[in-house]
Amino acid sequence: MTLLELDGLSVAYPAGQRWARAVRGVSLSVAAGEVVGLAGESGCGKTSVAMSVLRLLPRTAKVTGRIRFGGTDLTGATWGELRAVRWAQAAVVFQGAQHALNPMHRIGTQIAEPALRHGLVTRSAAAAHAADLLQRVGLAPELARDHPHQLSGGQRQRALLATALSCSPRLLIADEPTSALDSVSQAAILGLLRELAAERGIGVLLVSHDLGALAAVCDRIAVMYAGRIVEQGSAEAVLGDPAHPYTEALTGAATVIGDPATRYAPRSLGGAPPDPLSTAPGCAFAPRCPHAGPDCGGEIPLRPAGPGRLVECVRVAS
Amino acid sequence: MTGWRPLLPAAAAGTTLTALGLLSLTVPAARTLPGNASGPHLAPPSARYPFGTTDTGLSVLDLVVFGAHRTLIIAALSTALALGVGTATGVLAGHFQGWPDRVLSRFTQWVLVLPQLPLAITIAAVLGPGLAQLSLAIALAYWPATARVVRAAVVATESLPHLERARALGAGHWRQIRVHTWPAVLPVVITCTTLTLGNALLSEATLSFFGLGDTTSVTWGGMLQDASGIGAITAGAWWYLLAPGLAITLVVMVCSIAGRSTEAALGRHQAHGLLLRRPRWRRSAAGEPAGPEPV
Amino acid sequence: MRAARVAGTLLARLTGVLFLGFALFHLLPGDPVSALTRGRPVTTEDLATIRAGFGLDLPLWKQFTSYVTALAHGDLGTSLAAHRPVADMLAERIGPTLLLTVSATVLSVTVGIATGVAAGWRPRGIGDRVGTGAAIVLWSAPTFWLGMLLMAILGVAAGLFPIAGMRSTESGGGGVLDVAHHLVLPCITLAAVQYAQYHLLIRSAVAAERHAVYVTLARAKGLPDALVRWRHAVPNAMAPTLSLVLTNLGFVVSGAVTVEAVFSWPGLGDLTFEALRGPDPPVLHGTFLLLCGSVVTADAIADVVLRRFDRRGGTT
Repeated sequence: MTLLELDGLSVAYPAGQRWARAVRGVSLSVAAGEVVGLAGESGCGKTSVAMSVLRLLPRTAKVTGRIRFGGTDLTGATWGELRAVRWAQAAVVFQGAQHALNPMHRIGTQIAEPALRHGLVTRSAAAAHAADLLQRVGLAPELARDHPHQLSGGQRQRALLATALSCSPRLLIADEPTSALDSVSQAAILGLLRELAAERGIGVLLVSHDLGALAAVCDRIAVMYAGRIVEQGSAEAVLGDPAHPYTEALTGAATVIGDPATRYAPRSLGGAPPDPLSTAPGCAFAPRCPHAGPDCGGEIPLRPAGPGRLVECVRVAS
Repeated sequence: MTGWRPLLPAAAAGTTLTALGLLSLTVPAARTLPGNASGPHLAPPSARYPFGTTDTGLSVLDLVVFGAHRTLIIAALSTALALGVGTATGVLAGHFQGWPDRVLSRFTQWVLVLPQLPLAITIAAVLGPGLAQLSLAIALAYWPATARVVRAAVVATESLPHLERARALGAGHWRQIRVHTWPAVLPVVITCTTLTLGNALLSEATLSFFGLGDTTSVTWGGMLQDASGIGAITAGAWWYLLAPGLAITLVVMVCSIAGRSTEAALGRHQAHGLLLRRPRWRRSAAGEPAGPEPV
Repeated sequence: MRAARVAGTLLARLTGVLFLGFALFHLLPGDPVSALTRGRPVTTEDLATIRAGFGLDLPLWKQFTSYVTALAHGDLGTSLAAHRPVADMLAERIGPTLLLTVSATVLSVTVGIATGVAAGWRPRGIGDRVGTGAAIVLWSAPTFWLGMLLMAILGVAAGLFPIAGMRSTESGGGGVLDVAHHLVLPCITLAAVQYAQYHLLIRSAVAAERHAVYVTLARAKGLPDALVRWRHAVPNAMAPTLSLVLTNLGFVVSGAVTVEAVFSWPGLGDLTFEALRGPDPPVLHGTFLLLCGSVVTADAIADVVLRRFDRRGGTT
């Protein structure tokens, strides 16, 4: 069952007199029990996609396209309808747990708060609820009485995940949940996400720049470049046999565990991502692409390349 | 970079201040104190006397224009003194660090905690009346704010690579300060100047009200004291108070706008800027990881 | 030990105030007594009395030891005008000053938080423009001038409030309501000046917190806007605000001194004013020591309180 469906989503931020187009027509879906990865470099628009689902972007951001969640259209939802969906249906694990937890409140209070406010637990049951969630993410229930600064980075990230599970959501949006962690904590958090999807049928949208992390847990992966999804498909297919030159470059830049050659000589990408203010037509990756030709400046079709696989490149034969 | 737009209010305020300064310097040359009181005594505002007259029949507006000269000179003198002491202390403390820093910083911190007005009042009272004494009293109460801010700015530049390089190449202290520290500190000093100028004006007025002002000439604070001295309030002669008070308020306001907007434009407090707000979210919301933030 | 360090700093600062008091009234080149009394009708005998009172005729080290000994015994000399011990005069002025500063602080903090939060939450909105504009004007106006205007408009023209003193009768009667009636104008004046500071500080602190990740998280949790604001953003904005305000007690005291002088509110500020008019150097010396000493002490207490309040101090 499809939980989340993004259709032609675009996000633009005002930049002086012009618009910085962070997301340019993204279509993506997440089904129940599925872990979908959203990969890309810093600044490619993946956080904007993640934040637009619950309409958490700044007021000045211009969002167009459709965001459908469980059959309802969130783009036209009133603030009241939106509040009912927020956390009760879909929750977010923010990047940087250090800043995402309120420094003034105790961990337990923060974890139980959404369930309490959405009327899912009573005030007297809130403490037990928080303890329960802490245990589920592998933390000692005693931590509920601590303040965020008393926790380690890995503990904070787990606490944030516990907060996200407070209302038993159907969809989890995890924005770089592991990027600030050591590899042991990273593996534990990713394992938890995988478990939640498999055992409780939660849909997970995992946003990360770390292809290794995505490869470990995702069913499907979408690769973003300059506000567009340039390639999506099953995790093995996209990472094992990249079709888009950008994906190819990304997988080349990532180190492969067990293969020292990739660590010593990573294939780096020349050039820099394009200016978000640019309105030039055609493939945004063309200036950095080793295979670019004159036909890259025109309209780029989205081409199917295998089962469930879409690639946005003129070089790919359909 | 911030571009020119955020500097607009600062530039406007700076221009106003400069114009005011020039005006106050030229006014006394152009006209003398309207000593021959020709108007009615303590008359309310009228077409001929837009801000009314004093008890001696002088136009309040004329007096305010005339008083700008001495008022601004006192403010400028005390600001110059306060900034000189403050900047010197801040640069020395920040540059040499170690024990000079500890001693100077503790001293600065101590004066900063003391209530400025009782301090200025007592110093002014002990020094006696006069333009120089008054300016000194104000400066002694208001220098620490500058010292603290300047010290922080110097400390921030001390660890920059180009200064370490200069040190490694054997540049002397004087050269390090003149060539490397000073340019980085200058914007901070400019901000402090405007804010201290405003404080100095307010202090001049308050000290005059307490009878510690410069009684040899007309100042805005002195006018307010005269007004209260002849019982203008109980007599219902509010106009005697209005013009000098408005003049002080306006100039102080221009100063604080200038200070705050330079500060904001220089990006020292981005989101704390008062008149200019640079949207901070733009960086993190556009999908980039948030930059290093203070913990 | 943190407590020991605060106590040490406090002790050093109080000693500093003591030295400053001594230096101002004993050491200054020239003769502070004649400076203080210049242009006033003082007889030669008066001058001699003042000099002897400060011990200015003794050698310097003797002056200092007797100064410290006297202070240790709570002896601040005798007022020239009232012929009473300065310490007694100070003691009876503390109550009114506290009443004025505390009531004005409560008023200005309440209003400042309300308008500052509203302005910071929606910067550039109409509320922000009006509130912040008003704050800048109040911030820029001389305190005593505001007081005189209020006195002229609400006191004299409208006749709503008494314009001077704390009680209607000299004997000290009049009851609580009478004192409250007298308190209105001084309190509003002092609050107006402080209000600007609270408003501007809270406004910028809230505006800065508004885009903090945990505020977005609170919104994502489905909390209504008021809860996001008051439960999450505001408490975090209060820590920097409180620290700035508490470390700026000197500003509050300076304001109170001025307001008291304008409204003849019988506190320490009014006493300072009288001492300047007198001239009454022993009293001026006494108010100087008391005002500076209490602000320095209050600052140390504020420091301790703040450390407790701000949980963000520690990191992993």
